[in-house]
Amino acid sequence: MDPMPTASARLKRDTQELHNLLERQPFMRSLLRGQVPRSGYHAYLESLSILHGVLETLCSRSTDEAVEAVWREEMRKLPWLLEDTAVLQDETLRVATAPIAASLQCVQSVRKDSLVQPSRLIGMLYVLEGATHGGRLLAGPVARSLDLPKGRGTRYLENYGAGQPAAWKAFVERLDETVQDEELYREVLRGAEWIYQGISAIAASLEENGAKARVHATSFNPEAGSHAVPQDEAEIRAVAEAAEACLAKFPYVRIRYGDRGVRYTHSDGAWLVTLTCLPQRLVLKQVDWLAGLLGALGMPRVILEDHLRETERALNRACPGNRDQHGVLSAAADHLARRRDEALCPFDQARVREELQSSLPADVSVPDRLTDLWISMIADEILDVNGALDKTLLWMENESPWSPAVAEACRRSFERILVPAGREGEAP
Amino acid sequence: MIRWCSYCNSFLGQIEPYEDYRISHGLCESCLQSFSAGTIAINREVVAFYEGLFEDALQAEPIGVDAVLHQAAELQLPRGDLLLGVLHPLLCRIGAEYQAGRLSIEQEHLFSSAVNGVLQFFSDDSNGMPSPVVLFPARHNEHTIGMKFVHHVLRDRSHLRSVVIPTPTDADELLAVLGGYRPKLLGISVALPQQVSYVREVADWLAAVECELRPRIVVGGPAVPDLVGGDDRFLPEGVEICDPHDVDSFLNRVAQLV
Repeated sequence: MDPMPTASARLKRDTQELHNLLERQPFMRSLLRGQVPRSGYHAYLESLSILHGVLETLCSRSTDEAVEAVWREEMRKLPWLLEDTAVLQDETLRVATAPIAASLQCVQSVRKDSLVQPSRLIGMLYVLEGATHGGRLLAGPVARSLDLPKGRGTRYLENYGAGQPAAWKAFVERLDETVQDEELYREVLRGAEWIYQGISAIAASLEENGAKARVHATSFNPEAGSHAVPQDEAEIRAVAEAAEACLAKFPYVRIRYGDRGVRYTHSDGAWLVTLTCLPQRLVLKQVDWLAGLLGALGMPRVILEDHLRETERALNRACPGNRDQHGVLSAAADHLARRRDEALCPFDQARVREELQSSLPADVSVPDRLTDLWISMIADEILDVNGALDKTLLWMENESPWSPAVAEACRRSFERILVPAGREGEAP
Repeated sequence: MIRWCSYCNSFLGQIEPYEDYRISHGLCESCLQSFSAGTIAINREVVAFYEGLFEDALQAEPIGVDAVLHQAAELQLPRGDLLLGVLHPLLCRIGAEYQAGRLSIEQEHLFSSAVNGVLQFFSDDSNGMPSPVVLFPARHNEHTIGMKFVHHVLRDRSHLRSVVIPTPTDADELLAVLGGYRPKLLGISVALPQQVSYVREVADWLAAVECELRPRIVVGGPAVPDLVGGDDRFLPEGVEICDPHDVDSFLNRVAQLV
């Protein structure tokens, strides 16, 4: 009796038709022949960045046993895609609109599937990991036709390089070992089919490439979805300057959220620039909304406050003629600062500062700007954010690179302030 | 808050505070007339249906389209009441939960997908036919569900044909829309005040159209309360707004305009 075919063999057979259809797409054929213009190749990579960005984040966070068994951090391809798009961007971030929309449409379902049928993510990984075979064949023609310097702009296509066969073999082994149940296989197949259809839709839309090109939020951050961003090149440069200045002052963002936090700082900054066309009252409402959202994720208001001020400074340098318009940003930053001081009076802020300093052993120093962050986080908790403070303490204790004494000092200072303010009995 | 008639299970609209998405009870006009004295019996079935769906969303439980339609039928909810009195406020409430960090973007997508499933069940193929009302989202507004609600309510309550289309991205696309549907009214949905810049673009594109063929613009969507709150005139001249909390006024105004 023939042995039962493996999941990878079945996936290859059951998706063959979709694979053939994708390869027959005019865009894909042009890519292989090295006949795609730079803008088309750029749009293709940006669209894939959205797909990879969302899928890879969902896989790395998944607690589904099957996904955990198959996913490995070294399978991430977003860093390669970002490396390539940075080469291709030249002076402008403009990308065709249709493929970005097709990609955003596709990731909506990916997000939903991650909750309802997380095993479908495995099928999606199968397709994208399988693309590493063909990618290496495309790298040469693309580099030649676009006259790209060696190794620049084709990192994604080159993928694992000489290690590709071994990486694929290891992936297939994990897949076959994990997907043995028929019901699980069916879900994995659904995921694979879905991603083939998604990439086909992206490839089809790339045929219209060049007709309508804009700067998208996903150009700043593939996971940002769709929101307003500036189209002016000087303003776009200001976004990057302001984000980097803010990140330099608050290393916490990089330490806790990694590259993803950096990318969100850039895309949020791009959104902040679009506020400058609004009346002040509307800016405050939008900023309060974002502050609440970020606060709940563990990014206290003081970071946004600084980001607003840096954005205004960078915009004033880039577009000095619009200074009056930019003023709404520092006014919004003042508003956030006032709210913090109302929630936690300067006297209590000083108490937190003192408590933090005095309770740390002599050989442990307070990490950069941690006192400001911590005061802001306590104020946020008093204002309207629930739970971020406790989660941050857990992160400090279990994941941060800081001494355990830092977490302990923060916990003590927060208990001193918050317990008398109405959380009596809650603190351990 | 979301008001429902305690006696006949009919949706009565929203009342302040609008940001509170729990159900409040009242009496509709006809029940009020037949009501004499005694205690108002709060009908808990609608509340249980509404809160049950919300709980499922919080727990990331998949919501079956069939189950929603079945429960709505058991409660004898008309389609418009299900859309405007249950699903729409739940979408807003889930958005608020996301903002507070109590629910993920994936959970939000899961619930929206269930609502889209319900809407697909109700779908009709009116694309391509002349339509006095054309609805579309402003650039960067990804939320189209509210417009689909409006589409159904216009048909059920005002017997008006409407169509929901993707965002026209330039004057040529808009002219093609005008040629295809011959609308008397363009309804543009704005989720954030920044998206009003798109409304200005549309108003500019329309300026080139002959007066008698030029449709009116009505702006709706979650950003509308913000647009009317201050002294600043934020919308282009001639553009009207529709308060998302007052559907009846909107329906009356649309009927006048078309």
